[in-house]
Amino acid sequence: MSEVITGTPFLELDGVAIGFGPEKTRTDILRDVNLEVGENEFVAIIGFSGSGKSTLVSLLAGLERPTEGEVRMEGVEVTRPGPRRGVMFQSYSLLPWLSVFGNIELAVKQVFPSFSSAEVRKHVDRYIEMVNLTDACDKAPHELSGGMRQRVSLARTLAMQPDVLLLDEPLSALDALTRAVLQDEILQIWEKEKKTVVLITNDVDEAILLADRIIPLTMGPEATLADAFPVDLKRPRDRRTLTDQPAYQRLKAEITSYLVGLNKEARKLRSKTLVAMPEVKPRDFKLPSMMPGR
Amino acid sequence: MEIKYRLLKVIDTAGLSFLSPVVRLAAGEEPRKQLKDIGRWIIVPVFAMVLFGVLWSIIAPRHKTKSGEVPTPAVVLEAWDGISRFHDNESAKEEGFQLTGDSRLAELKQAVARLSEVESLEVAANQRLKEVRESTDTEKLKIIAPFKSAYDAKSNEYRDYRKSSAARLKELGGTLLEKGESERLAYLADMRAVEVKTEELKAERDALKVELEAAEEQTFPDLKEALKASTLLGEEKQFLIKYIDLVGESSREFKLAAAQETLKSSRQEFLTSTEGDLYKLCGNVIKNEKFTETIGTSQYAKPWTLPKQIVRSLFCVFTGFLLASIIAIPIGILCGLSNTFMAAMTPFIALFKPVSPLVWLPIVMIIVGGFMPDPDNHWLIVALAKVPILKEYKIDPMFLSSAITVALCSLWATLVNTALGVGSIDKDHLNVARVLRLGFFARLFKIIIPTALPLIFAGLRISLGVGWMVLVAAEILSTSEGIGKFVNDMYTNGSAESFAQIFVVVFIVGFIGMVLDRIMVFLQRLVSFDTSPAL
Repeated sequence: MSEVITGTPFLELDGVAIGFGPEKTRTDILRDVNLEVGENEFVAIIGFSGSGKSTLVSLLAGLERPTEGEVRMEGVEVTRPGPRRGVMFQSYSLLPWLSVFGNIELAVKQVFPSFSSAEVRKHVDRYIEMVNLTDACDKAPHELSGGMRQRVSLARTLAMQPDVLLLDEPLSALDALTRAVLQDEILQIWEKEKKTVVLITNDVDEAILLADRIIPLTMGPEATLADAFPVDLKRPRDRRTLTDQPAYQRLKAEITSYLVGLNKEARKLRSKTLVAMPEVKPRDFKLPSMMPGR
Repeated sequence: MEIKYRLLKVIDTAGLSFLSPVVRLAAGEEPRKQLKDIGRWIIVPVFAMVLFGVLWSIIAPRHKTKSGEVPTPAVVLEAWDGISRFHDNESAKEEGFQLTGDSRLAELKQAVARLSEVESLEVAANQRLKEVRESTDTEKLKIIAPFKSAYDAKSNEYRDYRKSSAARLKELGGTLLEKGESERLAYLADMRAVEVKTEELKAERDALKVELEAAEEQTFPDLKEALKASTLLGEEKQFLIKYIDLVGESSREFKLAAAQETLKSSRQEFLTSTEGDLYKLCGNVIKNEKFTETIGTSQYAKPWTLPKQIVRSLFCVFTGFLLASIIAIPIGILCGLSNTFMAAMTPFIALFKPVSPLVWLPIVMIIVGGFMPDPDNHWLIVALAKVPILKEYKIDPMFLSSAITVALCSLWATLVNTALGVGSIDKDHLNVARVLRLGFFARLFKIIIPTALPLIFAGLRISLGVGWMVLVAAEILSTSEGIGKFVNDMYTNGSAESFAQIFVVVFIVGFIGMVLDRIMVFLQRLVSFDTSPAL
């Protein structure tokens, strides 16, 4: 660890390993992962796809239990998921039969059962406004663009008022322009609300723009966290001026070359142990169309 | 434009998308493409139906059965007319029976006027029938004459030859006793030749007979027309006579007045009598009071018409469908939630799903019969007989048996689809539920059931279709009232007209099934949150 955190870390992974299969022939996805996140710190974890980033989020959220080691929050072991660790999923995971308002309302009602219906409405409206979706309040998810859906997902997660935000590649399914807009929004919201955030990403620019600390995840299987790159750029950050700073360029070059090195190493490894891919077919119930205009 | 899109959406939701090119064309959108679509989705199907009708009209009369010719579309339409006329007449009688006061008298007057009109028309029609019959009879004789004479000639030739040969051979046989073997062998050959010739003549005669019969069967459109007109008028006359009776002296009001009169006089007698048997007189009053009450609530005993049978069949299929849904949806949800439960249910689903309704029905009938040894006094039948609309449709154990059979055959589609819908829930949605720490019931009603709803409705749609198909068979076998009973009656009846009426039922059953299916598609669309088409 390049940065020393004083006191009990807010969120902590201690010697965590997770694997699948029977104990003797277990394949570890993550092994010997140690991470300490301080309160109100913004940590970005960067890695290639398939390296186990989503599994890491599941572990932090409590959706999965580690095979070895412990996940702790404020020194207490995390055994199950809960609203204190709000997760924003890559696939939005909005409920398609509920409107924007309904999706957020469901979460708010569950997390704040003591709210009156007027309070619920006020609370939901506040977060819809925060992500600039007031006009689309009554639309169904399938009527929204990808970026708008992810905004709803963000609003839902924020509306739960979690102590930790776990963002699992929230922007990787979006186009570059939408992504930039949402990055700015996340940045603004974070600078206002100051929350502990763990962001999973595969975008170096995004990580530098948002995070206090960037930790690369080595290639799986048996991936682990490498040494962190501290981001000492001044806040508030602005993407237009940021890229001109030599510190930014230096950091980006360092991280990129480190990641490229990882990739080469991994390729060498992979050629020896070729893992058979599962035979997966798309599941699609749609029948061929028999009516016009389809 | 706003209207166009709203219309298109309604059309799409209702599953009537063949109409969408018409709407688009009316809005002036890409006329060429819309015309092409109209051609394909409206004109081609109509053309195919017309072609089907033409082929049917050509092929049907060539097939003779013991119930007469296979009916042509025209005959089926006539049968449809007959069925609806019967229904209209019976409904009119039912209403007429209950009329009171001035409206009854007005109706009576009108019916009497119509009767005299019909009677004079009938006389004219019969006269015309007689004339046509005479003229066609002579014409027929003319047509038949050559066939008949040919047949008669051949028939005589056959008979004469057989007689004369037999006489000749008998006589020859008498002289053969003192002859030797060669003569006897010649006699044998002679007799064989006679045998062959007799057979030949018989075959020729039979062939001529078939020709003669074909000529005799030739129909004359004029005669048919006159016969039909006369029959229709006769039918109407019969109806009017009965109707006048029901509106007149047999009407409820009339009978009630008479009964009240009797009651009044018996009361009077009881109250004022000085010498009679007061016990008996008082009993009379009570008896007359009861009788008056019975008359006051009496109804015309309307026979089962096809529309009534259809409504009963619909009640029956929806009862079965409801039963199937109540059983299948919860079990399906449990199957989807728990793999263990699914494993436990799999053998039953696999084993019972293919069982035919014709096997379930006897079992169900025996079990229902076992529960209701005295159906008329069973609490369920008594309770159902009090439900306002249902009570007119004779809810009996057979109704329940048919409904349960429908349920047993149709629940599988809903069960399997519900299990599939619940089982294929998005893992991310479940993760959301876990992060929110939703309880079991909140998870069930807020996440699981909404996800599974489109597939549940797809299952319900299949179930209703299967149920409707099964129902008619169940009704035929259980002799329960309903469409099946109507078909069975027509089949047993076996006349040419009832043959055509069964064809009418084919189209009615098909049409109702289609409407039910469309309704289910509509409901399925309403609960579907994605925009994928359901067909």
